[in-house]
Amino acid sequence: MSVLNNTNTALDASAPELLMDLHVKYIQELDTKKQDLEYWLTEHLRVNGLYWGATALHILGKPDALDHEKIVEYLVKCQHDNGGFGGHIDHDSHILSTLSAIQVLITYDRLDAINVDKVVDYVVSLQNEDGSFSGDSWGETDTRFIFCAMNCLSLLKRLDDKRLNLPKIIEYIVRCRNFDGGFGNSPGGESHAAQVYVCVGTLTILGALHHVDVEQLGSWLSERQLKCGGLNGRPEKMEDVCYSWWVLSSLSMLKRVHWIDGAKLTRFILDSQDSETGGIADRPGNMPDIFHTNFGIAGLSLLGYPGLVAIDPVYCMPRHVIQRIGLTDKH
Amino acid sequence: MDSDQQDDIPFYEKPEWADVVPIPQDDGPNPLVPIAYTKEYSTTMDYFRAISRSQEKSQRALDLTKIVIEQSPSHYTVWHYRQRLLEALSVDLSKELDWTQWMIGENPKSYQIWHHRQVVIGRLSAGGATSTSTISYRDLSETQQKTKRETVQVELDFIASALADDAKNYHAWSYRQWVLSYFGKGPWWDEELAYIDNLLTTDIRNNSAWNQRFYVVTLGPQGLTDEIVQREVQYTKTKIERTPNNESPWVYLSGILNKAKHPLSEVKEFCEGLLEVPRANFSSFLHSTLLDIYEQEAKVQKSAEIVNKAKGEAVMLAEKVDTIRSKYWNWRKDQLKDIVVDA
Repeated sequence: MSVLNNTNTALDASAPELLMDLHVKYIQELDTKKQDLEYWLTEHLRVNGLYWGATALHILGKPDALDHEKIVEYLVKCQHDNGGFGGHIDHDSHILSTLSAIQVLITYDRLDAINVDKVVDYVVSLQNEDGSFSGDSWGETDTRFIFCAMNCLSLLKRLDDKRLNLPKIIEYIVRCRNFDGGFGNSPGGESHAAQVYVCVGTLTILGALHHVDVEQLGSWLSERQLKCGGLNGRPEKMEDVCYSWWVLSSLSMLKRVHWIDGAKLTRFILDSQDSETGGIADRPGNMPDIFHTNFGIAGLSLLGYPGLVAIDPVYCMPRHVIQRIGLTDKH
Repeated sequence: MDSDQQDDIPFYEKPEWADVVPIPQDDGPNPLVPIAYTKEYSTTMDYFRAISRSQEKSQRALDLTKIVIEQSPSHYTVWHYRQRLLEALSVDLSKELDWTQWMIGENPKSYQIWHHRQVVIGRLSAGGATSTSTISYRDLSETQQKTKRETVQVELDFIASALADDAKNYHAWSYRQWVLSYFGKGPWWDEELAYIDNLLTTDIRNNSAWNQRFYVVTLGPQGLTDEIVQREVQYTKTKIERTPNNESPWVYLSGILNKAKHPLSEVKEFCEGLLEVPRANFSSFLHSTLLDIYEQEAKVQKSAEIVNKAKGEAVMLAEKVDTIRSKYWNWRKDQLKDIVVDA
């Protein structure tokens, strides 16, 4: 099977092109912007940023555009004795940065550089009685953290850990399902496309997608597309490029991507590129950032944009990496 | 910055910091060239690293966490350290509430601040008359009831002020649900409905408020009685008549009927009536609700005529009212072929 997307997607002839070279340059230069206050204020997200950058570069077909060795060396320094990874050197362990670190290490095939057993100990330790997971030892809970834990343990092939209570996790996710078919951050929390992604992703990983009303949720998700082609995360909210990922990946897991207008969404993402600096913004005319750059490119890959490497809708990593570690039977 | 940080001398030039040796950032191989305005922040962080590495439990450490957090409100490691300091130093937590209120006003979308507020409230109410332990509100003494009510009210008012700035702030709503359920049964559940009604009067399209309505109506102490179902259906119909093209009340309407196990056909007449209203006739939600109603009805009655009505709605949606989702509506139309009808 070819790694690259086919070129048979219907495209709007007047749409701008994907500025691949410029985006590669934008990502490569992110780490050189230390004179910006923004660089310092996002310090706690440095490991997540690496994941967004590395993933986008792989999807753009430029896996070697960043120095692997330096990245691995840096990530090793972010792991704590408790097994978790912090968002940066000297930052406490958190499930969000732990998942990002594992994703990057697997993408570069360098799990050998870290102590995997300790990562598993850390992730398992965050499960609560009711099935949910905390983000760190401080106790904030959110369905995002369940997904991070399941994603991470699934990538490490350690979902069979005896300390985990998988039925409770499924039970908890089902409690977060709402009357509109969507999912929130906690039982009763408003449906939100990003929370839908993490809940559907968790159920997909655990082989429990039968708890989803595919038609109702698929319809709610396709309702997120606005006339401009972009997607929003909740009714009556503005469109935003990152929802190209949260909505589209969910529809993909439900096998319903064709329920939205792919050509219009493609156009919206392409219009959100910054043609001077590279990078993609939340919507046309705004400042780009690495988060929206990654999820914009990931969305285009799911839409089958020609020349992009295929992405996996569950793990948000290159499809060939997920195939390499033998996880493609998940969806 | 906060009011008590207004003197011009940076904290690290004050005598109480003279003994601390700042630890510079280990930031990988590249040399860093910070310009003046980031120097202030990076120096602060150098001191923070020194203090947190020794896990110093002191007033100056507490002050320093505040300085860092006010500059970088999502720095979760610093928040975490602050929590430990509050506990170790037995700080008056009511002051912490004032500060978090101010901080949330400045940074309404920071996960960390909202969670901090929740932890502080949890700790404050863990003892004394506001304890949510085993005693239910009904069984508390009058004074205890009053105290508990006031505690809840302070939180709900505070959240309402955040929602006044952004009525869809996800963190605020999430915390509001936590407060309601954390303090258990009490009069605040009934009052919540009036609050939601106010929000929906201001913005009938506020989906967060509709979600909260569902939360209160279905999880509230009264339960979803037939009387409440009728009241809600009536309420929602009025809102739909005002904004027929508004997704939220339509979803709410079918959500309530579904939850109460009532058939959607209870609102068939209402929907068919709306077809006569020119403004409503173009609502994709009206047509999709009719499609659902006819589809269900056709299955029960095995009637080719009703299948045709359903088909008409699907075609209307795919070709006129909601063309962007035409593939979905065409799929719905195809599904109708499988309905068994009497000859």
